[in-house]
Amino acid sequence: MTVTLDVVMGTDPGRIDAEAYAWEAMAGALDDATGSLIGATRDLGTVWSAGAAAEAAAREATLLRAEASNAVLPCRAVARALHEHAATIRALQDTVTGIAAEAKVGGYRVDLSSGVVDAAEGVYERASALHCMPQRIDGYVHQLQGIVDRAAESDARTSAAITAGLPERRNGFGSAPAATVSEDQVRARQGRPPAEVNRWWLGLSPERQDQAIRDFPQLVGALDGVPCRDRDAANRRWLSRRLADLDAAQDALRNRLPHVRPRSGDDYGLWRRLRAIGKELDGLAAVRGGLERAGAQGLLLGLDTAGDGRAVIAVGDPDAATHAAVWVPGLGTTIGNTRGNVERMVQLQREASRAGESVATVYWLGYNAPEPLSVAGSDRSRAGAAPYAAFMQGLRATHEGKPGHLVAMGHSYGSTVVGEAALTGRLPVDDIVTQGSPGVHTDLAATLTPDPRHVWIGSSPTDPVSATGGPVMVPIVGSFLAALYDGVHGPSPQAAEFGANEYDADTFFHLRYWDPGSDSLRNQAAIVSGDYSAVDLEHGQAPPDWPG
Amino acid sequence: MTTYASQTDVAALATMGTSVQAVASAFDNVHRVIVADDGVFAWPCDATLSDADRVWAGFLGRLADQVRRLGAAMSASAAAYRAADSRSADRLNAAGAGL
Repeated sequence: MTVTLDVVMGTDPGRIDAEAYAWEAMAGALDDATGSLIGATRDLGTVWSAGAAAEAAAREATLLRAEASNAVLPCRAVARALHEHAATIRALQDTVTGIAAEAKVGGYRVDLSSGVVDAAEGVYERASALHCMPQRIDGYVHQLQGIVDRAAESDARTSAAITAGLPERRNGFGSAPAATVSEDQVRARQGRPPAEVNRWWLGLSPERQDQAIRDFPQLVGALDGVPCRDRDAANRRWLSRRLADLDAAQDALRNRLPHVRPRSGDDYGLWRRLRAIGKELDGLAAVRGGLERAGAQGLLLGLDTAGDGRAVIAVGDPDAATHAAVWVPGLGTTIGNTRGNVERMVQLQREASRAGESVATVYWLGYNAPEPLSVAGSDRSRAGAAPYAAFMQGLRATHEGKPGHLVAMGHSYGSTVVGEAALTGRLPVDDIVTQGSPGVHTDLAATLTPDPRHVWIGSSPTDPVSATGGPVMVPIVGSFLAALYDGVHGPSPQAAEFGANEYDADTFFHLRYWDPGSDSLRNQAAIVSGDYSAVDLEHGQAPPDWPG
Repeated sequence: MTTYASQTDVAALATMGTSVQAVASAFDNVHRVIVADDGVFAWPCDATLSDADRVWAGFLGRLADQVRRLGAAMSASAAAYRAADSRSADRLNAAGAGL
């Protein structure tokens, strides 16, 4: 088939994209199957170590792992070539439409099937137009021919990419192992744009990804742009390894204690180290508790025990889900509170999935949450904004298939972190939701997102942090909390002048916005699942349901 | 074989063989995500894509077969080790009874 203008204009780029998504899905399925093969045969040499049969099996397993692994990237390359082809055709069609519209204004007709350009009758009646008519017609024809040429080039490029991605009949793409990933290579990706990290990661074969996860779990687990399931595998590996190391260190120190002279100074050092180990073990136990609560859907997307600790746990897979909400906790949160906070995400995910929607919720303690003495300051929210935005950019980069619905959520001081991140202009989300917010460092919702109908504020009438009624209804604690914040993070976002939607939050005080059966939870769930018209609003206007 | 069997975790090998055969089924399913289309999308390179689809289906099928054979060989070896062990035990028991 020859590429003509008729072919360019008659093609549906959506169908090419659909093919691309299918090949992308095939690459993903091949990646998963290869990962399973690697996992299933990893210990073969230990289980079956001697004899000719064992050696033959080990050899065959090594070859198969490499062969399957080497096939993933060519498969993904076909998908990428098709996506690029679809984008090119779409852009060329837009250009042709633009040319036709421009020509029409000048009194010319462009036949979009044949590419024939002629003048409408009126042009012949204008002497000035008559003078330049051949030149104008030639110009349009020339432009249209250029578009056909570019379409043909795109076609040739795509065909070449598909052909280059063909496996050999006998040995696919070969079974030579790719070069191992070094620690320096992983470290070089820290702080890089998540989309770039994602390209690098997807450019590694499954065998190399597996090796990087095994050798550098803490580094890989923290990289925004690495797919969620791979981050989970890395972080869980690091969690197990760290627990084993700490247990061993604890045993060694306990064994030394009886041999140390009391009040010698050495015993103090030992007790101090034991206390530090105990604290870290408690933190890791809390993370395990959170993972247990998340159950089979739980993914460990971030873990660090330094300071008050960091933990990021998803309920559901954000890469596969249509809707993903990432929630930032506030005042006083440490790694020790993980289970209770994951519980909130479990409730939200359950409620938002009720109508059959595919939803993932994420508990994100990726910043150093403030203590009562620092809650009135902005240092913590400013420091948290960049890692939060990077995490969200990572989810955008790793999402499978069509872009999903991404929601930023923050409770109390966590909403201030979300606000700071949104104000940078680098928070790639569709909706922003707060609960009990003391302020988001701006006095207008429109500065957070282009359409303020996508900013949703929840404020219980008894919440002293976000509502004026709190100090009255909860006299002691309410007054204390209200005094702590007292406008330092900007005006109350639930005020109508702020320009956001206020959803009905019927729960009591500051900490119960996720109570099962509450309107507060139901409204948040409706926002997360894009069912905006189902949200009960105190004031504001809901946008059209997602995807709009 | 008995010597090798003594160095082999037979139960683990049997489990591994079963797992590898299950992985073969996962490879079988890889190509199924490409849904048979009702026709070309009116573009020259689609013909190339259809050919590629067929070649990939063949490749993935062969890969799945090889993985399945590997798993089956592992399971068969584990079964053979067990049988050899059982025969040895029978012989020893018989010898003991004859004493």
